Amino acid sequence: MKLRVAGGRSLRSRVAGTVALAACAWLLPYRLDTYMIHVANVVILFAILAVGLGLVMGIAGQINLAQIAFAGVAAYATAILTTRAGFGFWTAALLAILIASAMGLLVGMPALRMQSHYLGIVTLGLALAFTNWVTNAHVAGGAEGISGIPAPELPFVDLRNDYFFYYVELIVFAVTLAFGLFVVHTPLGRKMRAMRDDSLAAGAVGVEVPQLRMTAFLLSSVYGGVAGVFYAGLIRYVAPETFSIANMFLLLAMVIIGGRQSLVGCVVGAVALSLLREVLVDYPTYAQVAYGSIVVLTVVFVPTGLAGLPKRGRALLRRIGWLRSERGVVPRLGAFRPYAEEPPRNRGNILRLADVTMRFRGLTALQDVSLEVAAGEIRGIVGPNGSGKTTLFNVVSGLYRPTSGRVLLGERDMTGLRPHVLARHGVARTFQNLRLFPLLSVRENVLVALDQTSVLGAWRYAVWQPGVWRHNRALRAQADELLDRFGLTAFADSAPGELPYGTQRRVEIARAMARRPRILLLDEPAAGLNGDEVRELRDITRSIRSSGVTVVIIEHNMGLVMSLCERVTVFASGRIIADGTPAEVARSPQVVEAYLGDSAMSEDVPTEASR
Amino acid sequence: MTDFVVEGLSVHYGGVCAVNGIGLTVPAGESIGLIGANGAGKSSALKALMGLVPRRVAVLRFGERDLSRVKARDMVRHGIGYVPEGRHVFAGLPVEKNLLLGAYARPWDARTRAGLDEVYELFPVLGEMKNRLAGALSGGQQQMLAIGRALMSRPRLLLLDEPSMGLSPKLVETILAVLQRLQGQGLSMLLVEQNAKLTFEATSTCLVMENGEVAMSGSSGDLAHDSRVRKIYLGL
Repeated sequence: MKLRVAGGRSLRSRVAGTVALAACAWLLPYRLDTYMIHVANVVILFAILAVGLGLVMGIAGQINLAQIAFAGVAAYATAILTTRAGFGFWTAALLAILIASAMGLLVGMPALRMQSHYLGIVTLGLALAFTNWVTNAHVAGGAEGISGIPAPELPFVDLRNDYFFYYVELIVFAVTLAFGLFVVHTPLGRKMRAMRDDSLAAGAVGVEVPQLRMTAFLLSSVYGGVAGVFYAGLIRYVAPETFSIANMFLLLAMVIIGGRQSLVGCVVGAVALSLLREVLVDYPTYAQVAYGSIVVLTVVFVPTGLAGLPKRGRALLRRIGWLRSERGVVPRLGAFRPYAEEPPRNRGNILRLADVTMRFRGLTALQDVSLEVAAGEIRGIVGPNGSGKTTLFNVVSGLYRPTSGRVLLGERDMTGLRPHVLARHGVARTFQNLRLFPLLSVRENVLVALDQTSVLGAWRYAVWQPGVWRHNRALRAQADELLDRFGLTAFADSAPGELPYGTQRRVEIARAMARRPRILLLDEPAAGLNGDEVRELRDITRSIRSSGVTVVIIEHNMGLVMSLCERVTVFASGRIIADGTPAEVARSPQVVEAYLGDSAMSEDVPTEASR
Repeated sequence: MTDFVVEGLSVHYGGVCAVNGIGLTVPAGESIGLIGANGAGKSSALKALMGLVPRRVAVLRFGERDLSRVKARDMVRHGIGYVPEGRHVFAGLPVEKNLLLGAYARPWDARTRAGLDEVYELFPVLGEMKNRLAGALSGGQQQMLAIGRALMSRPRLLLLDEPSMGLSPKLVETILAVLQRLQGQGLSMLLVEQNAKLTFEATSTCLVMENGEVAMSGSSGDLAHDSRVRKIYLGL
């Protein structure tokens, strides 16, 4: 049984809806006068821009206030290349789109180093600089702008006619929207959504966050470029105020009203707000107030935008009882299917920490910690709360760069490398407080981790989409296999937040194992599990180890630690105070004093090996 | 007396029924435990009582006051404190500000200050770290902070969702001692836990949940020795 019923609309009705919409759009010009067809042409351009902005803001979660400027760059480039340099329209258009993408890369460059909100300021600066430049530059025609841009030439069709232009634009729009949706539902867009939801966890499963941010800007600039080129072809005149920051905010409003996280929502927002603008065209004073009020009302009452309305409507109907809610019960976790046994891929020590110290502004979380974990081992890490255990994991997985000391994986020095690099070298982890991607389904959570391709491979999207599609299908099959192995098939389409805590923990382990890591770091995997579930966890961990993966486990459940680990390292106040077999450690008076206390309270798991 | 009475509580997510018409009563000054496997609906029930997820409820009464239509932010004002599963501390604020935010619904007065001191007395480690960002605390310390924050609203009923999660064995004992001490001061509690021993020791009565319904209930002492409960619901 599926947990979420909302996604149950059949494919057939969706296809039928699309065909009907396309037919309406095709027949629309027959009902429009020459003025209205012009309006429709502008609306489509805004829709293309909105899809691009939706990709970078809603899907990748990056603030971009330069979308209009990207269009402006392309429109001006077309104008200058055709009127001043004598290029044909299409040659100029192609070059213009390339120039706009170069701008996109330029804006995205700081994304390699900067956090996203600073990046928003960078984009705003670029947008302002652009309008300023075109207003003042002689080559751009100053405040007058550039007129006399030739119409795009096509055989048999005169594109000076707005009706014909409409059909060309419609086709371009359909292609760009389809491409956007394709990106969203294949590895590139999935990684972007994961990065938006939790960039830290995305890094930990191997997503190259900085490069991906840059790709998102590049992608949106291409959309900006396409819209800008067609704007130049349609109006055949460019002026600075068209690409002003005021229009940027109008575009932003479209995306927010429509629903950032849905590209179709962005289109709906663009159409709705453009039509409103047309209605208010005679009342310019009130127009800004109207846009502003609508944005505020949307954010307050439908934060997910128009695209989120159907779902909210259904939820409301269900609550007041008009729509019957299913009497389904929450599905149970399935059984875990053990991995095939394999010897560990490494010999000797797989992980070595040498004198690692980690200080945060005056607080020393780890002090000269040296630790060796042998390949194929299950190592337990115990210690009082606040003794530095999770900090240790954060150092090993690259979330923190140690103040001093070295971290070695096998023989390689990995100190201070970024999380996604470490993930690609075989380090996987789970998080104590759970960091699943909340807006992705369980299957998508696993899919993000499964995809081993690098962001640099995104060029395939431009040249060979069927290849991407096939790759995506192969990944899905792997994901379903993995979910089945972990007994999660019933939850594949659920949002992680809907699942009980214990199930979410299982999803995190499955996600960590998706990459077939060399070493798996489990941070309190038994927290919130009952006795049976702890025993299952023990079996899962053992099977993971027998499949050749070294496991390091932080855990407070002493029954589990005792029955699972060959060696246990005890931390207190950022130092290692004991290290040895579970039995040795449990007897050490220092450990009892610092950690166990009168351990009657520890959840005991029967240690009979038979279960 | 201020008994907390619930009848016919249901929670639906999408089309799925997570809690199906359960009822329970927390008598004044008593502690009630809610146990069961993951997915049985315990946390959902607690969230719904607090108003954090949409609820349908026939009766929700605290003393004489009807709370069935009261929102989460006002539940606090009616004397109900909540310790969320997974802590949810304000990571970017210092410990002390986190605690003071717990008292947000109350007027600022001398008792707020006294409340801080009480929390620091219950959890000395929070006092030592009062100026540190909550996000920099370890998991267990955050758990203490979450409990302390709930206490700052001076609740008469405390809803606790897995307060022992992620705590060292020694700290679990500390938490138990704290809970028992609070109970001694007349605080009622509704405790959701996976740590069965903690639950049985901290509560007088327990309800066992399964598939969104109350499968059985009884005194904690009896249930602790009931082999069926131990085996089927707790997996001990």
